[in-house]
Amino acid sequence: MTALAATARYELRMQLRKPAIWIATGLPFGVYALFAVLGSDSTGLRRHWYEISPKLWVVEALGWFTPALPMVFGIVLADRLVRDRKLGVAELLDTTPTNRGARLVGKYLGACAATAVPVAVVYLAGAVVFAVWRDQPAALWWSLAAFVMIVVPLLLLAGSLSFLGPQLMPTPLFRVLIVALFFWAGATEVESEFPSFAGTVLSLTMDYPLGVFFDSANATTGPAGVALDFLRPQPTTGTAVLSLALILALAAAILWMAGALNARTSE
Amino acid sequence: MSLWRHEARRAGLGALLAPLVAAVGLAAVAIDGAVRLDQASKSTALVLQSLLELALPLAAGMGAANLVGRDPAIELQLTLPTAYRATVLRRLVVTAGWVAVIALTTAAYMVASGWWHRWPEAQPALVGQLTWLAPTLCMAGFGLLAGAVSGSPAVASAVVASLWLFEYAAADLLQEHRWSRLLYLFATTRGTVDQDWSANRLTLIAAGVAMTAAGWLLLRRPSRLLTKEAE
Amino acid sequence: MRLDIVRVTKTFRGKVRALEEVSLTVPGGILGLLGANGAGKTTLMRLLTGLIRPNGGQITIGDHDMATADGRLAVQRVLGYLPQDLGVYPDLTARQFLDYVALLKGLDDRPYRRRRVGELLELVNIADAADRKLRGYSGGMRRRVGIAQALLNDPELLIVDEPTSGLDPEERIRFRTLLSQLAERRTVLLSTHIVDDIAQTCTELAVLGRGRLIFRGTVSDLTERANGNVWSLVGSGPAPSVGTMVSALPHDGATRYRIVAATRPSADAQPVVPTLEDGYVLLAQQHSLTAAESAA
Repeated sequence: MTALAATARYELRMQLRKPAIWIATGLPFGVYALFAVLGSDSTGLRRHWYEISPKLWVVEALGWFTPALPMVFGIVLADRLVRDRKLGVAELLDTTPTNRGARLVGKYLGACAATAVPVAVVYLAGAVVFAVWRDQPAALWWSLAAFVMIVVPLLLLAGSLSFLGPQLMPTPLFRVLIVALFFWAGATEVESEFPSFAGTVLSLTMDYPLGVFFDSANATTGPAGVALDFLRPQPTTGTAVLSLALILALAAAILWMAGALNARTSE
Repeated sequence: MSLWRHEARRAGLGALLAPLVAAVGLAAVAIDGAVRLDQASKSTALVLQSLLELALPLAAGMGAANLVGRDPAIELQLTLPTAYRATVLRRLVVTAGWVAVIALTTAAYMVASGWWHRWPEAQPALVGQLTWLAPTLCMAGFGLLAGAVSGSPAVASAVVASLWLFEYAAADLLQEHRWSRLLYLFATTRGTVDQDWSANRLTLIAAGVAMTAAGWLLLRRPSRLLTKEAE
Repeated sequence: MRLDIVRVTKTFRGKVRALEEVSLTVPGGILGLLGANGAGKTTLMRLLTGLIRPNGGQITIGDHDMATADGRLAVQRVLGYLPQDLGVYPDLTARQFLDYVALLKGLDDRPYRRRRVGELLELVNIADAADRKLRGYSGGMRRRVGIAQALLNDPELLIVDEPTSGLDPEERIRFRTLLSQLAERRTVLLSTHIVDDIAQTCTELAVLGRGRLIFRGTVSDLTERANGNVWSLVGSGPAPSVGTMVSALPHDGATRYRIVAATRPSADAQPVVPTLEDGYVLLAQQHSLTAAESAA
């Protein structure tokens, strides 16, 4: 087995065994889901329960989850990389005949996968309930598609930030900043006075994929007559895919920086 | 005095910087708003009040969440005649106290420069300090309790951030019932029912004190802390 | 300060029996606590320092009952403890770390505290590096800082768990001498799996094996037990399978083996004078502790 796969597998197993991962990610989303469903008729998902289409239901459910997801991912993953150094494991692993970069990527993928599992469980459980209750199996496919296209890229981005950030600053400060980052991404609107990437192909709330693939009413896309409009092309399949690709590329670039910094620190 | 200085250091650089970053963010917004100098200033003033009510309590909560489970010398600490929970409480006071200093300074600037009253629904300057004080105490208590229960800064921070975001996003939902209105963190800037404001602020303070007390009780049994992984 | 440990039992998570009905009395002076890793030494240390509570039995230190919070606090005031894994704050210098611990031990008077920290830094020989951050310290240097913090409050009870790990031979000798001197006026409990540390500092020792007390007596008693059970033989080829091999040294193209066995391992084996280590190995054999659990 390659170093990458071995590291990924080990990291995944190690994290999944920890109750902390399940509590930190599963609990908030379980509670959110509960509120969303039990919430009063004027605001909860139950409002549209019997009329809404599966695709739209998925989008609304996502709307409850996605703002918090990358924040929580970033917080939980924050100590993964620096911990190896603190525990002295890094020094030992560096003497093995494996590619350090491969180990880093493996650790990254394993840790991200482990952190995604509790959320996936809650999220897909909700989709199953909806699909069964409303006899709409399409909901399951839409949920899966949304998880892959919306949740996973955000997770990968948050994960790469959490590999880089704690190397540059104290972990607690990083945790606050990652909350601030995704809050800023989610709370600022295109028309607001404050500069943001809202409604651009670099949007951290995945506006283009949400708008194009899921017909989300909340996703703002297209030119708006404000600054950075060159990042707001017309919403098409092409631009939605571009947006996805850019987020993934950003995650890869940040991970590369994290690896380079980690290697330099070890020497 | 020396022991407080040491505990301030133990609270960590993160606890020192986070509220400062929040204050700097606030200053940036204020400067940006001042530059524009038009009717947008009303919304800028609201944003400034919001930052006071949102950002600083978050910093306090995250700082408090970081106090349990990160001590490399825990085994030694637990054998010293100074009770560890007293040590943790000192660190909490330092963390929340520093947030309070930043908040007061920022609020003083806002009052002095006129930004405070540029938002028409702002509370009077003195009583209005409860805008940040009540949610700060509440979040600090919640962070400590989360840390004491989980023994993990990662879990506690995640729970604090989740609660914070939930309260932000579910503003409408939480206005519907009296009990959730009384416990609403951002009643000043995102709440709707005005006459409950004082009751809300006092309830939050009481909740903060109660949660701190609960955390204090939980930290009584040292062997619990030993089995948690140090981060 | 007298230690009375009566039928103490400690079980973790309902399954792992770390200590089983251990009874031990230490009237004063220095007692060596010997045993393999996992024998229960660290658990016993933690019980004595009030870190954990026993599931059964009673511990009295001086006049203080360790079952009460007041008792534990009273003991911690006069306690010096060096844990097996001492964590330090890497961002502090040695001097700052000792200052902090001194404050937590109740040494409020600043001039006295400073003096005391200075004295101890000299005593453990890190005065030159005292103002460097602990993150740059080697394991041995950290150990010395650990010893220093344990002595800050001039403790009546000193409990040291694997104190010489990471120390070079010279430092090890210095530390042993220090411990012996300290034992003149206080009770010292030295827990280790390094037999030589005990041989050079203690006259009394106790041995734990799988959570039970399997020996309590003098060092010479335990050594004597192995009389007639320690053999030396020279041979080439595979090692003898009788008893426990304690050492194997090259000798004129063959190997000289030292073996602890109840019976003569081979016709040409010669009896030799036993050491404490031999006594321990024999004890381990008699209590059927596996080879993997034997002391270093």
